[in-house]
Amino acid sequence: MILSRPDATEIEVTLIGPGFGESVLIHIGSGRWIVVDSCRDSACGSSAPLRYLEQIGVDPASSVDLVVATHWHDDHIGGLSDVVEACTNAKFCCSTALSKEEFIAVVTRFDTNSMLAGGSGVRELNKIYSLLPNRTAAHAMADRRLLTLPPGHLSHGHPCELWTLSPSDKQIELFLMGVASLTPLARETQYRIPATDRNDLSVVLWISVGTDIVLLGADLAASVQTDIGWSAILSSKGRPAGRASVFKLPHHGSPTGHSDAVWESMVVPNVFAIMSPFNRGRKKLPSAEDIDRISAHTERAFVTSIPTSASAKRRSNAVEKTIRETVGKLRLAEARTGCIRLRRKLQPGDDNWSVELFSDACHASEFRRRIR
Amino acid sequence: MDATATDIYLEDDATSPQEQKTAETFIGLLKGSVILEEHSVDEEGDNFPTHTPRIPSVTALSNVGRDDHYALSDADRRAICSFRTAAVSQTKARQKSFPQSLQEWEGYVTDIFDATFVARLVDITGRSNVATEEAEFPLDDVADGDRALLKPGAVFRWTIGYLKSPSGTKKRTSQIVFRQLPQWTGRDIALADKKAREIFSSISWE
Repeated sequence: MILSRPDATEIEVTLIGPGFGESVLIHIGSGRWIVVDSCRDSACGSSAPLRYLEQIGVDPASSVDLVVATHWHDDHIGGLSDVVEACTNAKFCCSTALSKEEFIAVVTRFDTNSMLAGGSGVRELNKIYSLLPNRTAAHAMADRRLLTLPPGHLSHGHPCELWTLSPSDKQIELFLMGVASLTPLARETQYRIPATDRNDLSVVLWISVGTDIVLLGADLAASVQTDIGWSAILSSKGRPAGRASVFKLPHHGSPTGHSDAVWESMVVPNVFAIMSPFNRGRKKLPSAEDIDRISAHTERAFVTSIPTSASAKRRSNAVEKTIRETVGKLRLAEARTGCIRLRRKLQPGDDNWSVELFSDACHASEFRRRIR
Repeated sequence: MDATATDIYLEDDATSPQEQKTAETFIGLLKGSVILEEHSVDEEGDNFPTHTPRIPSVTALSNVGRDDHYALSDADRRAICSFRTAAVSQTKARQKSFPQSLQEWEGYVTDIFDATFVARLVDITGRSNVATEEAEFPLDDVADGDRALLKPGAVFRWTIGYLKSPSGTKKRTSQIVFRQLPQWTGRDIALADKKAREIFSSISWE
């Protein structure tokens, strides 16, 4: 079933998530695609969005118009350089902050460290930079319209627009002020670039096709400050009007990305809410409490995979015993890669999205039952 | 003598920081002067006690391998020879008890808590290059000497294996060793910054 391609008059939103990382693919009609972020397929290690396009028989070089990196955390850019490389005709878009020389210097400094088996943590980004001189590149910022296709341009006849709603100017300023603390210095012992908790640089996307709107929340955090995070988007006068019927929840359904105002004013009641889990660290996302909170807003919430679904790698008895004695058990960062696919035919009298769930993707209530 | 510097594991044999430092210096110097010293050991080494060697002075060691090597005092030469004999002797014992690795990971520290730290793990034994596993380690498992290296982004090796003794008994071991990666040099930084400037100026942003 996953092998079927959408019709030219059909729009599609597919969220792929292996338990660590996510990627969204959007078909806007007429065989035109947008790829947002990338993660690695837990079964084969290759870029999951490229694998998906290959499975449904779509040529990334000729069919993908835009590749977006919502932010630089490694759960969103795994295999993204392969996507950029394969989508030779696509425009690349990322936050303004990531195009600044001081941030690029952080990347190139860390990537001098070639002695680590798992990479420097910025290798993917550095490879993307090396591909961009031959590509069109665009900055994402608050209230920027990146794509406009007039009525009649696509087979279904409807106009299409894509906006970036973040990061705000203040977010970019704060990030650049913090870049110095990330920058390694001469005579400092080399280390891997540390993971940072800050998600306020995320690029939120607003895609409209006719009257259908898709809101992709990236990992944007909610904030009490009115000039950053979801507050900045909510208070903006320049963003497009309307309410989304599909909402990719920010930050894996975490409370840090939750804003009641977004649910009340930016999405329709009982919106299709899709999310991927985050299976690393002490606190897995989404938690049972997160699912309860989300379920209070919509009955149509879905998750791409179950964190406990992957089989732990079996090692010799001696190794297994020592692992138990030392750390209790190893946690797997990835589950089986799952996929939520929403499709909708843009034809009069048909306003229903179809929902297809692949691998361990499931309804939020089932996810809650399985993680107990 | 067939020992080379890379065969010698002295980290647990030196009993004080000064001895450790001296031993490291000695090993480092051996790399460049092994033939000269080997000759001396063959000639004279057996005549010196190997169990309680006099630690040669760093000044004396720094002269090893230099043109004026033979200008060393007899006492220093004897000390160097006996110290090396002891090191090689210990090496032989250590070779017999060197751990047999069963499983090895490269770990990256992500979070540090009061009593534990969390790390992502790349399965080196499984030839992976992606951190697909994660574990939470007791801080007590980190050697005192490695505590200063523990910070987010720090890199370590976690090895599980057997330590086999010369008598044939074996003991399961788990060892966490923080890697002393090289420092970024001024040249590394200058080259990286030059590359950053080139990247920055080569991309046209809409």
